[in-house]
Amino acid sequence: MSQVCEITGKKPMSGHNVSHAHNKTKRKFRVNLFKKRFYIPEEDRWVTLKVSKEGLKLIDKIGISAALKQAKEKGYLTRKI
Amino acid sequence: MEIILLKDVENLGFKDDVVSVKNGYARNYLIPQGYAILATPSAKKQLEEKLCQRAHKEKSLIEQAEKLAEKIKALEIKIPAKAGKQGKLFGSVNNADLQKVLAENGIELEKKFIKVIGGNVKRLGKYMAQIRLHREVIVELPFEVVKSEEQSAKEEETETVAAQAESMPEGPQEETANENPEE
Repeated sequence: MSQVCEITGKKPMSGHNVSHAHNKTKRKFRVNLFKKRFYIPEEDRWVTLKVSKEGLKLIDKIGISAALKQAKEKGYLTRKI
Repeated sequence: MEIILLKDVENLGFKDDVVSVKNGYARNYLIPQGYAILATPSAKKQLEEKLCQRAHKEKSLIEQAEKLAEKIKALEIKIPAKAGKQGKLFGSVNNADLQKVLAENGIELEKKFIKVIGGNVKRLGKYMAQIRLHREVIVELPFEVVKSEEQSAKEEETETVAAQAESMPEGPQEETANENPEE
């Protein structure tokens, strides 16, 4: 579970590099992931999450606790936080 | 992103204001420090209700603020300051100086409610300040920064002396200055 966003569940996709001559080689489309510490105001503590850009935007929009809850319901966040 | 302030934050806004700031500023500073919460739709609704309930109490406050506003509008403010020859100030005039002048005129205000439009004043001239007495009562106050009297008296003396002194050696000096680049 290394390259997976803990909020949105985004994973790397596989595809091809295609040259001008249409030679295809395998490649991975990686997710824009980073570790980020978030403050939960309701519980007065910090959590460290591995999130993608989209996950960060979601947290900014609906708040960290709502985002965590949603991620748990959808099964993206398996470890205990 | 949009946030609701829980406390007054200088240069940003006041309690119960809905303001929009950069994401990182809110996420890393304002929310962890307890200055703000996220302005989600439900939080906005709660704020509205809170303000509605307080509306009755605030009527008298607003009236008071408006009276004070008229008093301030009647004032004409001149702030003396030391300045160089081209009207550039030594130091600057900021909201603390305005606060002092207002206090001398019998109006006590907190510094954070006074804002000089366009930042601190660094030259002589006429400027505007914004004074916030209440969320709905904001007054614009024109003021003028003038040369302090002692200094202007002194300068007149020195200027006349300098003018006399300059009139003699000015001619030859300019000539030499012009000749050098030609060579």
